[in-house]
Amino acid sequence: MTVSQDAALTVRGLHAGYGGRTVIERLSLPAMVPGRLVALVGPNAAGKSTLLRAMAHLVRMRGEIRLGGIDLARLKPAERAATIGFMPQSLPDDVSLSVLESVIAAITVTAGGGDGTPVAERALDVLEDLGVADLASRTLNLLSGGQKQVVSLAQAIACAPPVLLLDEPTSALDPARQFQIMCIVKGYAVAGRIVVAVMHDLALAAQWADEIVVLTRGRLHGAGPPADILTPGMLAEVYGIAARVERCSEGRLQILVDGVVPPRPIRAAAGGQIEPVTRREFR
Amino acid sequence: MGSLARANAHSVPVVLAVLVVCVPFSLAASWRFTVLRLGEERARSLGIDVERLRTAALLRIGLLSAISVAFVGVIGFVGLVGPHIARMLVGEDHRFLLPASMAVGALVMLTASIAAKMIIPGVLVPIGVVTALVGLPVFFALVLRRQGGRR
Repeated sequence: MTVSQDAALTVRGLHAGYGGRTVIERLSLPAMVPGRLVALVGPNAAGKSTLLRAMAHLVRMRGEIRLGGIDLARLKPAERAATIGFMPQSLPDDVSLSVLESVIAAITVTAGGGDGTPVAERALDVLEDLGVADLASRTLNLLSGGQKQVVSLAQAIACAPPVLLLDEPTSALDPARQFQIMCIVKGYAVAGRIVVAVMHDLALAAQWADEIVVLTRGRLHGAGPPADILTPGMLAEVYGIAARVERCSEGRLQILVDGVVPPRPIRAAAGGQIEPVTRREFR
Repeated sequence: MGSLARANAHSVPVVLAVLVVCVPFSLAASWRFTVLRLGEERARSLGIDVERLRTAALLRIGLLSAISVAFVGVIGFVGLVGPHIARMLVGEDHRFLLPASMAVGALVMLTASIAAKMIIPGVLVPIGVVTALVGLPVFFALVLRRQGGRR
């Protein structure tokens, strides 16, 4: 299976959910192209993680997700694994595997991506790139939350998949690690791959993302470059906050939250008709 | 309670046959088991059919347990204590953990068998009693530790 260099990731008419609960309905997204870092943002329970899992085929889903001309649903699990790297929100506790072993295992079970280099060497290279080579022989249950997140990223990118999906990659990191990880993630995108990251921190999304996709209640609210998307109007509608968006000295967007706004009618993403927001919907 | 007194030379070929059928599949799946320990989502995103892996493993476990129980009766806690000791010794790389579990399990059985003959001189205590004496404290320790970790 070959993926052409400029194949874009497209989502059309996607339904996804867990068991009997549908979280995402009829969602279509603008094409996500290689070389650009896409941030998925939205309030809690907007369906961001579900969308990400659906793109990795980890939840029950219906609809079309394509990478260039390839329908991802048609791929064999091994091929899909070699195409899509996924970083879950957390690693399990209490695993007595060393960091290096875990990355080696991740490379070994993923078919493809082999270029002759011994697996252990490749695993060490990945850890070195992420600046955690010193943790290689530490067992996973002795790592801090932040270290675990870095290791989880290492497992996801060890096979250099052309599509990388990240579920809040920096949620447990200190500012220095956050910067370091976002540099790596951005570099991964700039090298010509598709990177989609769920991000809670809007300032971080504004700083790093090339495109921002805003979800609310399982629907697309808007998508585009950070400067177009992050507006006081969007923040009030989607997040229910009264906020200012200002450019600081180096042109970087800054979001200053002044308070919450009371519930008010929001624009429905699909038809454009006004949908009154009542108390009941917030339960 | 089970007892090794029921075992005889005729049971060996049968047990061996089942082992020969089951063990290679388990060893072949060792990388996948290792990755499964990194979380179900991680495993599935790396292309592992988690349901199939679990079902196949349970089938093999069922077959192996059934054959042991059929020949020597119920001897509890060996399957609980063995793998946990093995895990402390070799970690969770299943390429090593699976063989180590087998070895430690056998060692636990042998030790228990010797103890069963020595506790009361002249009386063969059922081996299940001995393994329960060792296994129950380990079991409670595990349960308590797990709850402690969750808090």
